[in-house]
Amino acid sequence: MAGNAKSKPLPLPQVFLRGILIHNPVLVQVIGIFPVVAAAVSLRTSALLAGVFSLVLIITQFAACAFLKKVPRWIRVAVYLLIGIAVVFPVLYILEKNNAGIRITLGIYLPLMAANPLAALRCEKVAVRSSIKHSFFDSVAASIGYSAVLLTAGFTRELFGSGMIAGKTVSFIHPASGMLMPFGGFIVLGFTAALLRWYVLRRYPKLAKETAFEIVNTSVRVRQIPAPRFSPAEEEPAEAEKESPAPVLAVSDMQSPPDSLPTEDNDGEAAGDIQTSDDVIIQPEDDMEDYHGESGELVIMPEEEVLPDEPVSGESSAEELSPAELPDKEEIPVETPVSEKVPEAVPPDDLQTAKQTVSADDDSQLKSIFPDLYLSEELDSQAIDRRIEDMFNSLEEYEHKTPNEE
Amino acid sequence: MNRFFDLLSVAVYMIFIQNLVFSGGYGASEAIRMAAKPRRFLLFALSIAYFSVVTSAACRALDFIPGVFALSDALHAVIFVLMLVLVYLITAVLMRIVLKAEPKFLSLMGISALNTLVLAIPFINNRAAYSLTESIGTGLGAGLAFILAVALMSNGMQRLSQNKDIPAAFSGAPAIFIYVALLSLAFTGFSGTSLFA
Repeated sequence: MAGNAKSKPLPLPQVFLRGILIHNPVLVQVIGIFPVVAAAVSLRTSALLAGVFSLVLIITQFAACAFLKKVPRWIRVAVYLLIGIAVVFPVLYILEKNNAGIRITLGIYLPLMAANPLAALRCEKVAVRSSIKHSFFDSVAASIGYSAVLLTAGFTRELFGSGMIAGKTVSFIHPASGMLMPFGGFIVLGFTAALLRWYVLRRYPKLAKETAFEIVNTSVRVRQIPAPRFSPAEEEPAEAEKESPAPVLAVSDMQSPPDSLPTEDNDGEAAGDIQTSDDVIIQPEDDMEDYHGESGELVIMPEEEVLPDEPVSGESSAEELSPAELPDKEEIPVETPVSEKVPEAVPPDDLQTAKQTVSADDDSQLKSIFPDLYLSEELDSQAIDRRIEDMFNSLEEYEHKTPNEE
Repeated sequence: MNRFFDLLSVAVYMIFIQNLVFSGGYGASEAIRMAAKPRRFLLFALSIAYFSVVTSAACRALDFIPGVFALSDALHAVIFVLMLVLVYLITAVLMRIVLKAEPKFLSLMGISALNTLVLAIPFINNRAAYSLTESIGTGLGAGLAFILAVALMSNGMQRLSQNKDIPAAFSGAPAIFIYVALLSLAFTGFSGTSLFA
């Protein structure tokens, strides 16, 4: 998918499908949520905000595509804001002259539409990298997606918050004023996003991955960095030691990004850029790219890979075990009398050595002996200890079981 | 001394009682995205605090000119935006020339400067008719409120990302929205708003 997007722009229906549903700015990319949360409290204000926002986005994106491609990025972002206020000011001025009521309702939210980060994101990701035509359709799609969310939120919050539909009171709803507050907006957004995700999961299961939101683990991340892949042939400690520096490297120490990461020249709509778990964990120090999400859409590492349950057969489980969990796992061969190839004299505190000494054979053997240990959902040390205890208690049963399974 | 306490009380008000991110939704998308990938977070937050303090003070100082003070809201909006862009560009150029900052760093600074959170501060000052010291307090409070918000969100998101019991439809962004909604609800409680009036 990424390759297609790079060589030629996506067909029009695809652009709209992605702009509106799959990469919905608010519900999927989590950007530009301020007006939805704070200001969209009725259908009328939502419609006004949606109109102003669409204007801002389309004009900014057009200007960025037409004139700003050569301007350095750090100046461009300021220009977007200037274009934004240039679009918003006439609206503000007209409203101020004619209709004081809506100005008060919208408060300071309308002028703040000028600083919508979504416009900056779409410009940086799409406008300055593609043709005017593609950029225009992209901005229209994003506007429709954004407006739809604004109107949905406005309608829902007006209905449940004020008990009205488009200004007309309905009798069957008891208004809950909390819906008009920002937390009400967040709740509406949460359920709308879930609805969208449910629909995409059902209707476009292949694209469902693109609707994920990536969360980079920080405090726990260090423990979750997988050890480097080494083939069963490299079981010897001497060989494995050469590869050992990688697992202890913090992400900040990684100087060069891995090859598989999307490059700078990647098209913003390179929609298929799903990264593998390795790619996600070891990322380059590119903050701007990173902050905006690689190539516009957000990706998540598959959960199974964050906390692996079952090691892939033929490969060492050590590569998938986190270093912190290793000592606990390491106790298995030491404590079990069945395992033959247990490496001797493993200092439990030395993670490096521990990792290297778990060979593929040991592991597959262990797996065959204790299948349910490896299938267990929980990988924490207590659970494993408990399991081992249980097994020792029913050792006789296990001895009957083992040959059958092997 | 009184002025110092004015500043402090406004800052505390902005952080806890009217937390800009949770109670106002300002800069919520920046906060959520930063919490999901908290890289250079402190730098980002310091940058936000710097820009909000400087812009807030500069915009308030402009209002001492009677001609500016009398302008309409729409023109005030333009002035605030121009002032923010000016502050950003001056800072960026100084960074580029004096400190030889990389363009990448400047881009990050751009995101931290040109967002709704920073731009909202002059409007809030204007609406609440804060004095110059209080305006500095709001700027400072905005930066600290952002730090608090990101810290709270980030911690929760780590747990959300590891929770496998979340239904498929709710995993990812929807769960984050609901989580932020609950935090926001808590902060609404601090402001003493009555929900069941």
